[in-house]
Amino acid sequence: MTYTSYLYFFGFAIIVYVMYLLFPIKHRWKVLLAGSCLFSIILDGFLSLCLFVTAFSSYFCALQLTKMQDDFNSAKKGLSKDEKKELKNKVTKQKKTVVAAAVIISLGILIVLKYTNFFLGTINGISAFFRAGFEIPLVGFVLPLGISYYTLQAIGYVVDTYRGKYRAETNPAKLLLFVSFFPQMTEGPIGRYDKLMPQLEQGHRYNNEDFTAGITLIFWGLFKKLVISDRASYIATDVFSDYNKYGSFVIILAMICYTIQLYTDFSGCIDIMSGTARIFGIRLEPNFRQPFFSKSVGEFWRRWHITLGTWFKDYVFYPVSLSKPFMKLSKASQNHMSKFMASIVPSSCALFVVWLGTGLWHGADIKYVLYGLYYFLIMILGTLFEPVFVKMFSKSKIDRRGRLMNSWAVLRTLLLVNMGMTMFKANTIGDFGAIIWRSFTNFSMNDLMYGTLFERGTDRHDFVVIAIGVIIMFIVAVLKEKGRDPLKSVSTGRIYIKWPVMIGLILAVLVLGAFGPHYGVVDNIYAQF
Amino acid sequence: MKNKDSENINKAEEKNISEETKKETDEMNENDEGLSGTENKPEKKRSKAFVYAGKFFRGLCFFLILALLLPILTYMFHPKNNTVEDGMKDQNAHGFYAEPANTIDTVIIGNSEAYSSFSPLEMWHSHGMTSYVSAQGAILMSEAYYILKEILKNQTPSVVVFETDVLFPLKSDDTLRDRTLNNVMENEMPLFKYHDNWKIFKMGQFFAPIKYTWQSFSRGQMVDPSTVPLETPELRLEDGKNEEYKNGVISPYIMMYLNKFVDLCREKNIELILVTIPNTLTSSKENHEAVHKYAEEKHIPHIDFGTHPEYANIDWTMDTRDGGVHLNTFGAKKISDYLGNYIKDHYDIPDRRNNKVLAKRWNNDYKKYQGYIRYKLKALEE
Repeated sequence: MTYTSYLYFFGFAIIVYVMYLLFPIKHRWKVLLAGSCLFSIILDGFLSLCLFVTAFSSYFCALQLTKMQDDFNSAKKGLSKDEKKELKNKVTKQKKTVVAAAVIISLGILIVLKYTNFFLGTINGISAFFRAGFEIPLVGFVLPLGISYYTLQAIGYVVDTYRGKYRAETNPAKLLLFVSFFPQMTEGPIGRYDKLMPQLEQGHRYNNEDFTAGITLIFWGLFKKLVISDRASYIATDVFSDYNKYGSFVIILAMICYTIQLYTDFSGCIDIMSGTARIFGIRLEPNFRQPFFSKSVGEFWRRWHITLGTWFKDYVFYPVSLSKPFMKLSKASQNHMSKFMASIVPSSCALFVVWLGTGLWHGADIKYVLYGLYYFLIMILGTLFEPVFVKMFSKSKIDRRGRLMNSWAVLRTLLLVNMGMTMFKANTIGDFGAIIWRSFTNFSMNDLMYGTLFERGTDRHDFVVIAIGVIIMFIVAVLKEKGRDPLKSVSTGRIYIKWPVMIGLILAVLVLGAFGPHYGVVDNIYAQF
Repeated sequence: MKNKDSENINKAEEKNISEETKKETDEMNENDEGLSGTENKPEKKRSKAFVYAGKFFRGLCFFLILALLLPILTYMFHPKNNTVEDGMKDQNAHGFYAEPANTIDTVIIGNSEAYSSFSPLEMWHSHGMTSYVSAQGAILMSEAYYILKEILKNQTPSVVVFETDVLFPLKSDDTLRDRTLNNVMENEMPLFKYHDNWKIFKMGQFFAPIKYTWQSFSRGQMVDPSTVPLETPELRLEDGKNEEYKNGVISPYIMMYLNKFVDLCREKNIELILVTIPNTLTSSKENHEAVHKYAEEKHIPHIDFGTHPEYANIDWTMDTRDGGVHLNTFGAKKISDYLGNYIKDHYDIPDRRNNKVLAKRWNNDYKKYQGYIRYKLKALEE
């Protein structure tokens, strides 16, 4: 049941919404819970057990953490300063054990299911290299959909409770709802308890503005996914699976198409989900902010899959940076290195861990590890050469913040990101190298000149639709960047703007969407992680 | 730098969200007051009611506009003739649209096995029987049901032959569930099926009248006399590749529409015959037995050429065009001879050769069919 299927809309979402409105406000969250559990069971079958284990282990651990903190607060009264300190250290240690237990359970399920074959494959590879003469058979685990998202969400919740950011949830059913909330279960955005839970447990009345905004967002997401992404997917899949047949022109076109496909697929799906949540009166965290207007790769990652970036920042980067070995490293580098290097080295090491994690999160493959490290390398090189750039610009008197340089920065980021996306799509890292090599060396325009370009599953009509779609997306993005969200104006604007836009959007999806007897279902890329 | 930036952004977003939420909560409170307004404020209460009525009316208007636009769009993208150029998918399966009303006595429905294994023109030649094969490659059971419904709009057949390979697609239950639902939606809302026709339509075609004129000379059969023999001379039912899916089990999503198909035939007083043609992909003892069991339960005759190879004496070195997956024209002739005799012996089907106008066209097409086979064989020899 994908988010774009009839089954999801007509057999699930509408029914859950009607039930939601029929229930008394106080109990409406229970409808969401039942819907989310059902959704998980339909998608994952008995594998949805993983979700329940993660949710309940997080619930118990967080509850324990709050209890420990309460006990400490009441016990510390009347104690001397030293005794307080001693007790605090003891409690902190105990709390750390509890957090570790929660993380080991949730992350353990994810690691076993997702990475076992990667580890075994690596061991087999090493064994083959040294001719050790043994090979461990691979296992046939199936990954439940959404596990990479809800695991992070649950860990975030437990760690925040440990940090005392909020008290633990006392109702296990409510926590289960927080972890499993169906619009964000399979592709995120990765939500935070303090922002999401109050919205989930509070029943929402029907609200015209929310409803209109939700429907508009759903159709905008469907437009991105069905009209643009699924059309672009055919040429990208065809060329990447057999790149040896094609010259540079088609390969570069396929690379661009894949970037378009990935962005419209992921952000389209997030829009559909945010729209669905919005109809229920719930606002999900934004996951994208016009990423292709970024002037650097670092900025790109702050605008693309935002909730993953902030999750890694809060729960990996900070803890790693503040851990004892890193503090030692920081001190050592301050003592033995130049001021500039001392400021870079410790944070780079922490960033390395973050990007290794980000890469691995995307998939259990050496390709994804290198994908993460590719961005890490670009950022580190950028930081290292920053003083050189500063000198260069001040000497040449070129205005670094001028329009020309800004445009160049955007274009450069686009090229680097496009390269990263190619690595992401290529079957192996060897294929990635070969694709890039061919795109530079095998110059050929034959496919364009003889019209065979249009025989790759994406015909000339599709290209026109993709182009128009991208132009519309570009205009919307420019307006959003300027602080005027056209989608918001649709839901709040006057009828003569609102209706034509909404009807136009609905009809565009119905007529131009790549669905029907002659189209296969293109699975959401980010739901597979 | 990175962290600072994103923190600022996060704060800004938090602020936005909280402001919006506050605004909404205020509005909601206002609404609450309005709804539970005290008796001292009857005017406000009424005005709120008006506001709600207005909103409801506007919503209704919006859906009315959509409801008006949808049929217009449906017509615009609907095929204007039963040909591919005019927007019809699977032209061969839809040639029945152009057959004169009430002239088809036997309808054959199935997947590629059906359009390869039955020859209406052979049945005409031997028995004067009019039939049409409406078959599509890898057809879903739900589509088979809808196509029968469509045929019955213009024809009143006495017999429906259903080829049972449709019941065992090489697909998982989840895929079948999704595809069946898609198929049902597409048939109930034809815009979902034909919306892609904007790609092939010229300007004038969008509002042109719908007129079906294309007739299939072979009445839906795929005429292919080429031979690619099966490597082993005998087709053994246990060789089928169906094991990895379900063996001997008809998926519930197929069963649902098979039952509807059977009920539709009963409702229209049509005799239904299940026919099983063996093949190297989906045939297995269990599958054949499952059909047999279903046929017995529902009291439907079942002709199984798999467990009874003597019915048609298919020679797997001569009568298949792709090594045992589909029959060729010679195999189809054998099957059609048996089926023609069976129908003639068991049902009261008129001999249409007396109808001169009809007979002229069918005889001409039979000649064309024979000529086409000769031409193809010659081309193959060369």
